[in-house]
Amino acid sequence: MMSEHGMTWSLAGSVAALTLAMSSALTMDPSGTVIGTVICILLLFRHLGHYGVGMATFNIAALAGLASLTVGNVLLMMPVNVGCDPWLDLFVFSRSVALFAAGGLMTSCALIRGGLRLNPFMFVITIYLTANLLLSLCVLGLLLFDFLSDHVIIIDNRWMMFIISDVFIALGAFTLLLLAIRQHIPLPTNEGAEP
Amino acid sequence: MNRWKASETAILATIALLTSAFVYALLVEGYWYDGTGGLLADIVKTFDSILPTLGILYLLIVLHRKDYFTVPFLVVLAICTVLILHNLGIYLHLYDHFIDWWDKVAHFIASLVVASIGLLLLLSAAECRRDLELTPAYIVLFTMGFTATFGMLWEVYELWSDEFLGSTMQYLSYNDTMQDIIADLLGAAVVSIGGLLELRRHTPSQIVEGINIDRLIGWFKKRLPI
Repeated sequence: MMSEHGMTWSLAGSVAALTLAMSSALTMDPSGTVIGTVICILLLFRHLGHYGVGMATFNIAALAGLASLTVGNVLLMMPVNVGCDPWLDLFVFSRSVALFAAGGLMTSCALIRGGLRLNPFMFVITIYLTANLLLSLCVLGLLLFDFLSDHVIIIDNRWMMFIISDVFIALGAFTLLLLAIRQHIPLPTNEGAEP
Repeated sequence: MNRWKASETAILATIALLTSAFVYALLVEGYWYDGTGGLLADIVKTFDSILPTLGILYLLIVLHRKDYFTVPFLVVLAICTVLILHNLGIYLHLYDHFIDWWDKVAHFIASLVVASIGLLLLLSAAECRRDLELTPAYIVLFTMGFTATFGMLWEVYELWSDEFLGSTMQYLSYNDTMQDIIADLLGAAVVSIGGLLELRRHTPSQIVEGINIDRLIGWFKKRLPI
């Protein structure tokens, strides 16, 4: 069971993620909304008190990602900053963090719900694959938005769309794998899950 | 003739067909890529399809002979079909003639193949590992993620080729990338749903019967002591 402190973090995280997702909806990139909404749904519907330590870590990472994504979005919206590389870099990096954390949250949720059992290797691989799936959906959402609205709001180029984000996600997965190999982090399990 | 013999025959026939098509295109049709990236880029671009194709087909045979992973006959047939579609599409300029749909059909079938391989690998791993128990939602998530990852890597390759070899694999349009992703995800969804329906009628062990990936897992375990 999770401590009261952890529960407070999760609750605060849900509210903040929801707020950030809503503010992302008002900015240029709809993918922020998609990520935020996924995280919010996961957090709000998964009885917060049952999340473990691993989940809280991903929660914090998701919040950090979403926060910097929103900041990046807002800064990119300002006419003076449009096309300014540092904000674009921040935007891509924060999107990768948010996607990786969302992958971690989804995989952890699936584990904690019960029924599913994974070894650490498959746990990390699943996070990586889930993050990539979300990245594809984000890019697809971005392209569809442009296509349907007949606008060109793609602010990142093709390299930024896929490869840079994927490199960050792969780095995150590799780090997690190393930590798991050395048993430095406790990975979430389905022990103590609701029947 | 057992199933693997049939698979091997299909693989060898594909190798013969595609090698002949390539040699014909090279010698008779004058197929030589002439881009803006210099001689080395031209050589890479000319052979960048046939060599990986032959590599994949050879790998299938090696994986089976060394007892790492036996790909089922139907999946072998699908792999051969995708490789034939892709290579003939290049040598006979079918990608250019049927610009609206050839590429999408190739993407859709390729995603069916990739998703099937991902699903089979997952089910096989769960069969031979006691620390893995799967749920339907997880199977869908894994299959979709596996396919999306390969689809994404392919888009990166197209981009790399366009940027550095001077090709036009993405037809210089964002719409192409969008349609490719949709075709990939559709293929993954079809396999995920099909896999779930199949799991209602058969047990996982029946589905992956004859596929033994013990040695493949052992190879990973040796390098990743996790």
